[in-house]
This record gives sequence, structure tokens and C-alpha cells, in this order.
Amino acid sequence: MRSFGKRALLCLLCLLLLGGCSAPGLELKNRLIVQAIGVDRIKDGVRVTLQVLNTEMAGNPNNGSDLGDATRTLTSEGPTVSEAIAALSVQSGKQPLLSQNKLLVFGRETAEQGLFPLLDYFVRDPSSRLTVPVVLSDTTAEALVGVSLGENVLSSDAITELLGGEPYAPAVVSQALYAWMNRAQSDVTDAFLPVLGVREQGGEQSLLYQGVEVFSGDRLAYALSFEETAALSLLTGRMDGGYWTVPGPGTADETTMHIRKASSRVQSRIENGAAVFEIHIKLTADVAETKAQSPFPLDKAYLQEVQSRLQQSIANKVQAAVRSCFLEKSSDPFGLGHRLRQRHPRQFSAQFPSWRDALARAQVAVSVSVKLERIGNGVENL
Amino acid sequence: MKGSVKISVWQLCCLLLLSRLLTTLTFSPVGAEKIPTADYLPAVFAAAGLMLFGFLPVILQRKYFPGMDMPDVAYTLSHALSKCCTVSYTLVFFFLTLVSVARLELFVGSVVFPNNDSAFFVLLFAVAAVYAAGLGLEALGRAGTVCLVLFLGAFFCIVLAMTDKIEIANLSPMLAKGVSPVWTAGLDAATRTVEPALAAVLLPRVSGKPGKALAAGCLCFICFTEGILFYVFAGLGDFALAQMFPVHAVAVLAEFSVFQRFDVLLTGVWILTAFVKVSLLLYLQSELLKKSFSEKPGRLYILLAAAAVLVIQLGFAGKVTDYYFTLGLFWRTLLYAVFVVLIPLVFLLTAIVKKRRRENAQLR
Repeated sequence: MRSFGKRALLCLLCLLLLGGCSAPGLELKNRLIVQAIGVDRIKDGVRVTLQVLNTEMAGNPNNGSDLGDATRTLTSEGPTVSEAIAALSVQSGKQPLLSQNKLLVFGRETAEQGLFPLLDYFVRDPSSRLTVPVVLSDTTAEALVGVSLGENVLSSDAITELLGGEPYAPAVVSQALYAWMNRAQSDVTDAFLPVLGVREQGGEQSLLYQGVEVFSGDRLAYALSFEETAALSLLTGRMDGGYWTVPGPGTADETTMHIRKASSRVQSRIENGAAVFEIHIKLTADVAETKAQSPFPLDKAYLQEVQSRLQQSIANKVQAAVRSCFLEKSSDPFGLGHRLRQRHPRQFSAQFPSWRDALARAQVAVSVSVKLERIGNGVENL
Repeated sequence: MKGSVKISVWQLCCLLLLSRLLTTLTFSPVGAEKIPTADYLPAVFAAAGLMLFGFLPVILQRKYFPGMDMPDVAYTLSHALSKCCTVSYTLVFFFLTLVSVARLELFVGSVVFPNNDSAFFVLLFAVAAVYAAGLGLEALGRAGTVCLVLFLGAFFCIVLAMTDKIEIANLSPMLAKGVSPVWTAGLDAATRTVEPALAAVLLPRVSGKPGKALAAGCLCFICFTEGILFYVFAGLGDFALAQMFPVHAVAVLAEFSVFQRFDVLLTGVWILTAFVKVSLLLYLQSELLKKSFSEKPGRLYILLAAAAVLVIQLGFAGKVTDYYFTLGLFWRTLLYAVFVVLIPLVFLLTAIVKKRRRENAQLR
């Protein structure tokens, strides 16, 4: 009986003293369920735009009344990010719930001035998730966060789904908050972010993926071309699909290859005071489409030729992309310098006090091996 | 502590391992030695080697004085020394209780309930720990075993969900600054291993041969710590060093399909592990005081120790209890060497010499 009494007392204490549930402000109805956060630098501080769930609508999906869009956009300004967010609580009478946030957006101008001072809040705040994807808006963060894609569409979901295409589309690159921080803080590797814009046509808004831009430290520096982005995807192990078109053998026809698997291996060393990188890319690809007149038999010679052209095309493009970043922009978003330092830490520190200055002298050799796996469902396969 | 209920040597191993893994779980770059991230991996082996050295007095105690705890060994020298030894161990355990509670409150206050006062949580935790300590060693041994299984299970889930997010490139160059950082980090980890002190008091209440359990515990510590540090630094990179609780940050990263909140699992495991550790420490303080002073107060000792911990934690948190974690390596090593290694070793060696002399005199 005494034991039962003790247990009952403990249960009672649990009910009375549950610290996490003691504050009335923490109830869901009193929270702004944040889906996306946009941060723009303004003259006297920052402007924060929150995309929050319209809980009125979420709670009444079938009542037929016009409850507005699935999300609402709230904007406020303050000297710091935390004060601007706190100002939103005053505006709405509710406390933002950041743990549900799916997206962090910065405006272009803001990124050009540097992101570190604006990111501290998101690193320090325990409810902010480190895995949240970070994107750049080609104009302001407010414009992207406030995009309206339709009454029932969560634009934050649409953006994260678009970024989810990273493994299948060589031009799409996604970057989580912690990964961006790691790169931006590194003295040898440069960070990058995807850029998105909003297009208006016939009164309707839609999302536009515009490419990838690279940072120098925490400041926006330059944009990558499509080929450079594809090289970045290949060298950072992000590509797991996508299509690559090569000129057809002996004719003006083109053959599009479907990349099924991709991996890269980098061997690095220091020779005569210069960094040497031997990059080997391994691909598994299928023939997706040929522009030849049908029927067009894909004989062994044709396939060998396509394979060789694909190898050459990828090798040339990756080499050109790396050399362009190294020589013209003195930038290394591929993380090759990091790999070299990992392999030869002491030599690296001794020979390259400034990695950026050493980039121009770096030698890069790219080799590609392609394994053709399937050639499709054409009758000639028989 | 002769004649009382015994636990098996494997239960002791689980309790000690759990206690040590909690220290790994609460690893924070704040107050730890700053070394390149990849150097933490070989440092685990250095830590394990130094930890085994810390277990040397316990091994000697088991060999020469089986069935005796450290105050018993001191008693063979003098009654007063035995009391001094008891007070020394009680203070060490009391301090460890404070540190464990403080660390838990820091975690709960900054990660779990950042907007709430965690005083209620600490109060509830202390009440539950007093209740568990009152149930005795056998219950704690069983709870420790179950808790260790849950602990390892939770980490298995986290590691599994993290596997696709690790990148070897996130690690810094290994041994770039020579072996000195490895030894520094190893020593840093070893000085946070106070489990030999717990074993010195618990040994007479254990049945079975402890050799295999020690080896298994050590191996498990190495595997777990290597694994978790690899996932922390290969997953988070240098960003881990900007986090107050890097292991929790890894759990936040561990997302798999619809399982998006493995960090909540970690939080539960953390609280459970701290609960078992604090209960064990309260129990040991009570047993030591009962043995060397008066048996009459019984469980009152547990209550008093918990009340003192509660008052210090709620009244002076941050001033007293985080002291150990932010203490420089030199001072921490000194405290560890004196209280965990040196004092027991001096008692043991003196007692061994006395025992030998007595045996020789009897032979003559």
C-alpha cells in the first residue's frame, strides 16, 4: 500500500509539475506555425518575412466558407532577426513555432553584404533546425516567401520539393543550413546556394529556379553556369541522375544519355609547389533518346562511339568548369583544396599560405569512365 | 558492505558503462580541449588507455582485498583513515551528482524547454531519483541494464538515419598537428571518467569475475565513442564545434522518411540515463555514510543529499556546478589524479605492505 502511495504521489507530481506544458502560450492555437522564413537587410536593421500556416483553414477544410489561402505572410522589421521575429508576436498575438520551419530565404542584396550576422540567430536558437534548406531569392526574400502559388498550395513545400530534385537534375543544388555554415567558414572551400525567383504571367505567380551562386566567405560572389553547376554536382557527389546530350557519331544527330549513377574520386598531390588534382568520374548511363531517323539500329560501333563522346564531353566540361572557377574567379566551390589539405596537411599549410592565390597554378586532369547499361525499348535491340 | 544484496558483474558493467556514456553524450566543445575534429578519433584509444590506468587501484583492490570496498581497505590501516576515505568518496559522489544534474538542467533548459523555467523539472527529477535510490542496488542494477539497451538502441536508430548524411570530407586532416592533440583530448576524456571511484565502492557487492566485464565495457566504450564521434564530425564537420551539444545536433540531423525527430528519442534517453546515474550516486552516498557513521538515518541520507543538490542547483546553478566542465585540463587532471587514482592507490599500497608484514610475522 505504501509503495502504491509513493507511485501515486510521483504520478501526481508529474501531472502538476510538467514544466514543458506549464506555459499557456505554448498551446498550438497560440502559435504561428512557421513554414518559411525570409530575411532581408534594410537600412536600419532587418526585415523578416514569415510564411505561416493559416490554421483557420487547416482546421476547417470542408466547411465551404472562404478562409483564404493555406498560408499567410507576416512581415516585420527590427534591428536584429530576433527582435524582428519578436515584433511579429506583438503583431499577431501569437508566438512563432520555428521548429516546423522548412525553408530559410535570403535576398540577393542581403547576401552580397554577408550572411553571418543574420545566421547567428538560427544557429543559436534551439528550436531552429540545422537541416533546413537555405535558398537565395533573386530579388528580396520577402518576394519569394510571399509567393502565392494558389489557394491550397504551400509555397514552402513547392520550393523544398523543387530542391528535392537535386539528385535527378544536374542544375539543381540544395544546401542545408549546417552544410552552408561549414563551407562558408572554411578558408579553402567556398559555399554556394541555389537561387530562385518568382515569375508573374497572366496574373499568376510561379517559381523559377535560376541556378547556383557561389560565396566568398559569407558574401555572394558570382554565379555558376549550367555546366559549372553540373560539375559541382558531380564532384560533390550530389548527382544521381539527370540527362546529358552528346553529338551523334558521324552525323549532326544528338544522343541524350540518362545518367543512372555517378561517383567521383579525386587524387591530389603537391608537385613543384603546385596542387595537382586527378579527378576520375565514374558513370552508369542509359541511352534515353536519339534524334536519328527511325528505324535507327544502335549497333555496337554506334554505342562505343556514343560512350566515348559522353566521356569526352563530361571530361571537357568538368575540366573547363574547374579551371574557370580556379583561374577566373580564384574560387574553389568543389572542395578540391579541402581534399588536398586532408591528404597532405603539413605540406598544404607550408606551401599554400593562401589557397586562393595557389588556385591559378593548380593542375587539373579529368578522366571519365562510362558504363552503358541499357539502350531502351527499341525494336533494334532484338 | 558485506552481507548485503549483490548484483552481477555484468550489471555493474552496465551501470558504469551507462555512467561513462552519459559523459560522452554530454560532450560539449565548451570547456573541452580544442583540437582538430579528426584527432578526436584516435584520441578515443588514448582515452581508453588512460582510463584503464585509472582502473589500476580497482584491479589491485580486487586482487588483494576481495570482498572489501575502499573504506574497508582504509579501515585495515586505521579507523580514522576509513572515515576520511568515506568522506572523500562521499564528496566525490556528491560533486558528481551535482555535475550530472547541472548538465541535465543545462540541456533541458536550453534545448527541451528553452522558454520555460526548468526548476520544476529538476525538482521532479530529484524526487524520482530519491525514490529510485531508495529501492536499492539490485533495482538500480536492473534499471541500468534496461537503460543501457534503450540507450544503445536509440543510438543505433540515430546512426542508421544519419548514415546517408556523413561525408568523410567533413573531417579535418588527421594528426596534422602531430600526436600531441590526441593525447590532450585523450587525457581530457579520461579525467572525466570517474567510474573507477564508483567501482571501488561497489566491488564487494558484485558477484562474478570482473575481468571479462572490464574488457567488454572498455571495448563497448571505444566502439560507441568512436562511432558517435565519427558521426558527429563527419556529419556536422567543424560546425559541431559551434554547438553546445554536438551529439544532440547529430540527432537533429538524423531524419529518415517520416521519422523526423530522433532528437526527441535522444532527449528521452539522456534523461533516463541521468536518472539512473544520479540515483546510483545518491544510493552510494547513503551507503557510505551509513557504514562509517550511523545506520539509523537510513534513507534520510539519500533525502538530505538530494535536497542539498536541489538547493545548490536551483540557488547557485552556473556558479558552482558548471565549474567542473569549464575547469582547465590541468586542474581537472589534478582533481582526478588525487581523488580517483592517488588516494586509493596510497591506501591500497600501504594496506598491502601492512598485510604482507602481518603475514610474514605470522609465518615467523
